[in-house]
Amino acid sequence: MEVMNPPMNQPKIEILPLKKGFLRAAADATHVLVRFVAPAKPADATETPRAPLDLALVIDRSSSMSGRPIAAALESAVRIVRGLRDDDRVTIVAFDDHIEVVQSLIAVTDREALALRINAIDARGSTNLFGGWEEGVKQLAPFTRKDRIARVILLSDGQANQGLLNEQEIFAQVAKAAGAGITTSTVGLGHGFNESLMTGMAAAGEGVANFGQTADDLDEAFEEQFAIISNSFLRQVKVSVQGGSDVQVRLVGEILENGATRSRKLGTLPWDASLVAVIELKIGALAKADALAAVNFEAITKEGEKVKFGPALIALPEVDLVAFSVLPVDADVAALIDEALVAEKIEVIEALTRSHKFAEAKLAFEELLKRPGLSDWAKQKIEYLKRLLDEDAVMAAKEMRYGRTRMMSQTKESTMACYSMDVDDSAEAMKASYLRRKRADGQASKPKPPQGGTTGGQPPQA
Amino acid sequence: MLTAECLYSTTMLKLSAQLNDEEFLGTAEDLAAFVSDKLASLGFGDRHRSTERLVRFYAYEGLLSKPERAPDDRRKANFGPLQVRQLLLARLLAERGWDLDRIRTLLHENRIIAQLNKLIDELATPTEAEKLFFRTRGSEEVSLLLSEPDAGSFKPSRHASPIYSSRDFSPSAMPSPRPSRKTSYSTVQQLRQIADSEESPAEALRMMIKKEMARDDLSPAARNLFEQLLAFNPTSRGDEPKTERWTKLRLAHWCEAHFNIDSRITPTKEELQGIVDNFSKALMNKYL
Repeated sequence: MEVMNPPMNQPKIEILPLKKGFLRAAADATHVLVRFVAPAKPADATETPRAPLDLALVIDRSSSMSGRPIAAALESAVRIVRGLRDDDRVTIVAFDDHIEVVQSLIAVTDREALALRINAIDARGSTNLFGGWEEGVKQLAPFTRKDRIARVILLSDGQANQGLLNEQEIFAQVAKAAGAGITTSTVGLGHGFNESLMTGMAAAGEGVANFGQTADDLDEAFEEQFAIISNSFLRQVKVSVQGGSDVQVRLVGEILENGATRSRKLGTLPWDASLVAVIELKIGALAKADALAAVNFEAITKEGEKVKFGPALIALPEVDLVAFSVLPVDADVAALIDEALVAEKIEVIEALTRSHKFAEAKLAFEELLKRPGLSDWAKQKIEYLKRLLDEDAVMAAKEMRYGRTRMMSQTKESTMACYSMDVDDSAEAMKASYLRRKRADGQASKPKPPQGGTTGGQPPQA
Repeated sequence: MLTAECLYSTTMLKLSAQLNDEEFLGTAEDLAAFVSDKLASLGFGDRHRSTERLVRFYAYEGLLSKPERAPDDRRKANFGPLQVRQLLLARLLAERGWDLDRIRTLLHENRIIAQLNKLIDELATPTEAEKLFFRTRGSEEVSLLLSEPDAGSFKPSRHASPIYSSRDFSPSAMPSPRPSRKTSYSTVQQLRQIADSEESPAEALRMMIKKEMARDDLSPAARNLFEQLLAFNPTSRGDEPKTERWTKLRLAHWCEAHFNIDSRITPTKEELQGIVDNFSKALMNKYL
């Protein structure tokens, strides 16, 4: 394992190949896990305060949100506001085919007044989703500062039917805003919400995509999101990899492509946690063993400064076929690499489900379950998705979309341990919310509290 | 010799601290000139200047607080440091693509000088996000109001514009926000342009509609209406309306003929002679 040892309070880059050797010109790809690891919080700091937040809550009030969806949206919005700090600022935008600024950007000093305004929003009209999102951005745009976190949280069923409707154009605008410092997270509401639009916007906006049916489901999602923000070490982390001579590289789950350099956005890196990426290498006859590929990271600090780390070189000794076949495999590295590859397979199954090819989808799940070395978490997730496919194909497709994104992108512990072991629910519950492995993404994994209980009813603390 | 402190104060002096307007008290014209000069000295271009008309427009639109009445002449309005900041912010933001409703909301939520100072410093330069999502165009109404009035141009009547009413110069808090609308002044100007257009009014209207349709913030209902209007608008000058001219000829005391010759046509003598010959022949054939 190659580790770049950094100075204090610097992240480290770990290069972890599946096997510590490669076969030249092999038919199969060589897989390497790259970890970007944050240091532990400084021992002398009792609390590392997060950067203050400028939040735009953009709430879909169209008639398709009537009933449970808008009730969940409003209650979630109120809970978010109650969990913000005094130095945070919030703006509230409600949209149907008309965009209303319920509250322009204001410091969160009178939470109850804001809650009253939120609760006065009712459902009506069509859906100009892009217009609503854009107004949220415009409320934040003049006030963006390097030392503040600007984020739009869009709560909607994604059933846009007015204004800009082309998804790729919407994603381009959302990415533009993220590039200018305003990230976007989305919350999908209702049974039939448009997950393609909502997950696409969150991916383009370098935010988080969640979905749920009730405010309690969403509580966990917001708790996770704000926990990441509160504990943020670096944000808008991006990994890029460049292949060496006669080496083709691919980042599993990559979204961006930029000539010879492949890159992927990884999100926020909290203290004492890690972000991972899986690199696939096709090593040709003329490749150089000591420079198979180079990995770089870039990110933004809490103070808003752009920083770069790397390059970290991927170098492996060349071995022959016999030696290669007996090279040991690190189980935890294998588990993480496999999860990324399984996530890609689930994307294919999702496409089958959306085409109503349910029999083929189920068969594909069964094939996945036979995969050797499948981690316990991945196995539980696949089994859940297979069951859900029988019960509710629409919801199954959504769970597949969100589930595979989580498998690919979820924040991991800072130590390389336990990924190959069985999932222990009680152990998961002890972890920070953003580290917990969930089977179902659209539901709260914590048990719902009895009336007057403290868990789930508390606002997500930002 | 410049000390570090001097350098700091020179380079880090906030925009609000450079206004030096504590003593300012004046009319709309004085206010316009003061803010224009201040923005020019701070490096803002000519686009940011103000005129007396613009000040009155902003006051009418609720962007500026009502002025105090001069103690020596109750008919005279005295704008002060509060309006200096309001006007300065309004000019800065209008030129960065903010619409008047947005500016009005911001100013209404920040009514005291300390708040306005903070806003001016925070918004002194546009952020990257703002440059991407706000169209940097001056508002049409402001462009019109910054131009010098020519003969026959719109003069707001005492009835149309309350700012000309002597009752309005009462010291009070901000006027209540006007409902969101385009001003009647700009609409009248546009209609006047159509009426005075050397091209056909239909063509001028069409051009105006096409310009409006380029707006990103047009509501779907408005866009639909404009599309319908364009569908009915002619794409060319079209045919000139016919001027029908009937000519009466008394051929005999018992015979009168009425002729309508297309006014666009100018027949030759031979053609006219041919018509007469044919008519005679027809008469003879019919009756003889």
